[in-house]
Amino acid sequence: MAQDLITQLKNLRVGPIDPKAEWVAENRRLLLTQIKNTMPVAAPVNVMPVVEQAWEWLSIFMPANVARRVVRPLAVLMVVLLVATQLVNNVDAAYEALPGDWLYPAKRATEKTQVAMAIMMGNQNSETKLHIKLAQRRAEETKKILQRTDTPANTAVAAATMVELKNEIATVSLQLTNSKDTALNADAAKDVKQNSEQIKDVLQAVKNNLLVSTTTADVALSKEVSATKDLVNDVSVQAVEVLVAKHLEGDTSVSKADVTKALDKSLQSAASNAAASKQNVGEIKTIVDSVKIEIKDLTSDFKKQGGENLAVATNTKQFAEQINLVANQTIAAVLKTEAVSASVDKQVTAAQELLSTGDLSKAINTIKQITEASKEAEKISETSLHSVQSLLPIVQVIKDNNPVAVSSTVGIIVLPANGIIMVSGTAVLATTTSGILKVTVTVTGTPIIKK
Amino acid sequence: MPGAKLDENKILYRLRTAPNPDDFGVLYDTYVKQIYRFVYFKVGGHEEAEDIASEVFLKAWHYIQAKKEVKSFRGLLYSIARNCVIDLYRARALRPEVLMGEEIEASDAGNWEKEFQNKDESQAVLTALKKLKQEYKEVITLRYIEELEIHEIAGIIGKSRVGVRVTLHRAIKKLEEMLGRQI
Repeated sequence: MAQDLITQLKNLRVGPIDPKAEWVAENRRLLLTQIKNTMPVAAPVNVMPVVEQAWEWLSIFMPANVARRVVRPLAVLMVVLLVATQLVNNVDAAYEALPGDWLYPAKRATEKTQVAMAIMMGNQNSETKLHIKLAQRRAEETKKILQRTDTPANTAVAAATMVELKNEIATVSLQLTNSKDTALNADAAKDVKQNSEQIKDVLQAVKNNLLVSTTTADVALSKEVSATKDLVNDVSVQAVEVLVAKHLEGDTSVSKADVTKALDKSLQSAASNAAASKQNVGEIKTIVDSVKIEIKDLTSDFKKQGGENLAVATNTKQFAEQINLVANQTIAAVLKTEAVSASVDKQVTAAQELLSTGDLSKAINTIKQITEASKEAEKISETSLHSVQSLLPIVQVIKDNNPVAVSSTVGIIVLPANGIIMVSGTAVLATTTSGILKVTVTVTGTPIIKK
Repeated sequence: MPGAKLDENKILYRLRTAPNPDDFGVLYDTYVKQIYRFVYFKVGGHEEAEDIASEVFLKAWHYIQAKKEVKSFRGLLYSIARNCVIDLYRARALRPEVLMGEEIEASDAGNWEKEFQNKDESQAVLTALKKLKQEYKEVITLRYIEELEIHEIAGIIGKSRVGVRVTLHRAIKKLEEMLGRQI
């Protein structure tokens, strides 16, 4: 029947009619050579306008005539209506949008489209530059979110944005790792280095803002920001590594001067971080020591007075024991950071020597070690700070009619009328006639605690 | 959209926006055997099939670079192949309709049939196919041997989908008559 005949016809697709494998391979080689000969010598500049590219891209997912005759006119109409109704009258509005703003989904959709197009084009360099740029945006958004006062749940939103930032950084890191196998060039690596330094600055500013808060969510976010900053630091060093490798392979787009400058910058950054951590821990120790002395004096005073103040003295003594524990921990932290700082100083000298002799490979390895040491010092500093903050909670001083001024070794502070003492870098103790001892210590400003 | 079609559309997008010979090489690898077979059935000789198949892919590259719309890359290749075969015979100042059968006789048509494993059945089908008029042979080859969709065949030979179905039905009926089978 007809079906049998059709089956027989289909069976005519047999091997012997296939072309010879040698011809297929040789013809392929000739064809691609001929095609290459028709192309310009220099890398072709894609002159297709971006908008046209977008419509071409759309034709991947739907017939080209549908994209051209239906979707495109509709999209144009939408833009016209939006502009006419002044819903979108500022091209920067979407760019500045933060999570929760009505334009934020449009901003993220645009970014995803840009990423998809970069992937479609197969241009590794554009893709890497885009990801580091998006990481920088997420960092800026996190900073702005935490500065907002009109929106609740800022910490949760900031934490979600940090996750996105980490994802972008992870992507960039992977692309740098695979740079030997892909077409990633020195220009992209320079971009990553530059942007990652800027991201680190933004994240440091975010950390500083979070220092004043002791809520659980903010402390957790602060740790998350620290971890992300470490990742960004690693990516920055990775980018320098790629530049060194490219230079040593003979890539003329990255000169020895470029590489030396990048290495030197990484070196200085790691060294100054280690020094800052050492100084921070030193300052924290000073505060703890001051508090220790005051508690000891007060305990002694209350005991002499006896009676009601004896109960206060007992509470104060317990408080003193806690402070002693923290003080001992702080001393240990000081010793560690001093040791790290000394080691870093030696390594910096060694790295500078290697740079001057042109041993770039060893120099980058030394810088990586310094970076790790610097991270360790920073962690010690943060741990010490959190210990002090948890020990000295922010509370409201309860006043009686006669507030009492207490002299301390670091200065005389009088209780203000509202009973709340805010201190910057000094330990202050205050008592009231009711005997409730409350202490407030708040660390404000930059990570270097100022007296 | 099926994965293979989506991948092909991605390659075509890249070829239009940032041409890369390696991307075109992927398309070549996908379709070279089909085009070769199609041309071989038309011209009956390996050498001519090789020449025309090479020409088909080069012309397809130029077509894409001219930014002309490509609804179906496979359809484009078959259209170009068909036209190349017609051009071949026009260049020899011979009528293509008559030539298709005669040319096969003059070339290695004998080898053409001998190359099939199940000679008795295949030989009968091939002999009958060879004697069909060009229009019928073409639609049968494209539909059942090359397994193209009706709308693709319609685009290649310049007929409507209904017209292709009607032609196919008549072609199969004719082939059955020639093979002496019951309808």
